[in-house]
Amino acid sequence: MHNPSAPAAEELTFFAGEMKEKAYEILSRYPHPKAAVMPLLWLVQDRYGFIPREAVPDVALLTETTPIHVEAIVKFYELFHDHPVGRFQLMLCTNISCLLCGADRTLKKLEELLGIDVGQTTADGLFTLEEFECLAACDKAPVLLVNCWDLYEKVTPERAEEIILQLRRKREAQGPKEGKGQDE
Amino acid sequence: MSSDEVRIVKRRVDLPQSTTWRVYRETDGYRALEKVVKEMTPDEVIETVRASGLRGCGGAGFPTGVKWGFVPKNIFPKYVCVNADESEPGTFKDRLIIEKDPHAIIEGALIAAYAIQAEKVFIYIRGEFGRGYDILQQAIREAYQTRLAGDQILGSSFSCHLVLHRGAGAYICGEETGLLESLEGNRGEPRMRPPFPAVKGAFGQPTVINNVETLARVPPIILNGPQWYRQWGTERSPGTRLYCVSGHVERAGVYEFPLGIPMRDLIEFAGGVSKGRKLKALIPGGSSAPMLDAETAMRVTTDFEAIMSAGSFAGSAGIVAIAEGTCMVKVALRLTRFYMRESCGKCTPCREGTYWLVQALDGFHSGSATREDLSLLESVGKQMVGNCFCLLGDTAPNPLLSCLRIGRDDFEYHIAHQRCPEEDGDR
Repeated sequence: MHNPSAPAAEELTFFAGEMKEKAYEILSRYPHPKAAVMPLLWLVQDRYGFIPREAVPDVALLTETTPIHVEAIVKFYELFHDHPVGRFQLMLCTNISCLLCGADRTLKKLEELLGIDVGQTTADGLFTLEEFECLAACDKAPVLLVNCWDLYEKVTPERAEEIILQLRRKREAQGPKEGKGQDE
Repeated sequence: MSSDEVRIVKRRVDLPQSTTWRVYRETDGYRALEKVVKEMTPDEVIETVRASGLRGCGGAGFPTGVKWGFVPKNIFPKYVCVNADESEPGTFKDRLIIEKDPHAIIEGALIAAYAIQAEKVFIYIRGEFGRGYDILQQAIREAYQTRLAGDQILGSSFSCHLVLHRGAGAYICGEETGLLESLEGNRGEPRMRPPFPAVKGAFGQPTVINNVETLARVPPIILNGPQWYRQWGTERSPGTRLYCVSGHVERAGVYEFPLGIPMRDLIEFAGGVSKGRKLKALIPGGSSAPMLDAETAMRVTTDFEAIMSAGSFAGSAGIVAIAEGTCMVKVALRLTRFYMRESCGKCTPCREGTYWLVQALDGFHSGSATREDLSLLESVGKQMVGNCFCLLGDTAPNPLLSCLRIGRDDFEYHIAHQRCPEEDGDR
């Protein structure tokens, strides 16, 4: 079992306190520290909403890799963001079953409603709109996943309008951004 | 065919609080694990699973017991990886098990671990399954609390730990060696085989990688015996399967039926083709599987062998019905674009091939395609098959080649009229 080395702990600049403890707990699960790259990136992203640049050297240090390796991982995996994204990340599936059930109309409606194209974030930082392919819920097509958590089913253009309204209200009621699962 | 499903894996999904240890335990849960650690040798477990004829439900259909048997006995440590990275377009059965019966996955994985004497189980779940992640995490916590996981499971000498590992959005990580690379902290680029994971898998150690549904089938097989499982299905494709039926059908859903039932019955069970339309094409096993034309689809049975003879594969049992009136250019473009985006970029035929195909298909979509583009599509597509590093690239041209075969008229229409037949009401 990997035993986190003391020097690493002293050199850390980004991971501190509870988050550092959590990082060491994660490292202890794996036979090799490198395997903790993704879980550590999730730890960061769940807290900050994206991977701040300053977190990269620490992740590299903890996992005995290099900053360039950590950055390559952030780039390779679509769900990791190296820049801030909207409070609500809207992922609409447009793959085969969703396509057959009218996802393109829903996508167009969402673009109109939000005044942005796919891949963009609204000026108020509230919504990021993305196409995300096959969310493994084809029986509920078209489906919309919000923040990798809430799955909205059979999202017709009308339903999309309701959902946007609902999320805006939720934002007003909740105030500033919180951690994962906040949309329960 | 009987109008009722045969619910082996689906037996708990409609129960209230089906995700809890209590409900799982009350419905025979963890009795199989208890049986193996107390009464069976690892070899007996492997033999039971082998005799049941259980085949992998992820896509390849490889016999599970045989896979377990490949693992060398004298090399330690060993690992089990649960492939919960369900992302083959048209497939949504593993989500059901993860969200409704997580303990079945844990029990199946622990039995697999006992069979090969693994010390750790890594459950690799796709990043988009945020809710599923929390449900599994909770189930793992319960398993530890009740001494079903961890050190000296149920008072036996067998110890095994569970680690839930979250992916981050890469289709290629569903490929088993891509999954291993990802688990080890790398980009999910597939590995050369051999060595096979059974010999050299996670962290260079012998590893069994099984799909979620496959593992959920193990506990009932252990409890009831291989002959019980063989009362359903065919000689070579025994038991049941979770069929994911979606697309143009009235009642899309996950249905559990014996392997080998007629495809026609399955589509009828799902309420038939939507709005009384006629079937045009059918994807029988996830989007990588070549499509069947309507006539073949209505003749074929759902066992691995029959779908293979029909020129496709049973794959992940993701069945997508495509009705008459659908433009196959649109379908081909959408599916090929998916493979282009998900290509890991490691090998040239896949990285460049999918890109070329999408460029050419875009030409059809935008109205600039000519007759030469038709042969270009065919030529590029056919050159990719068999020349890519992994199955992603090898199967990526399948949707396109199928659409050309079944919906050639739609391609011709795009060339002749520079627009989509779906936009024109006269069809």
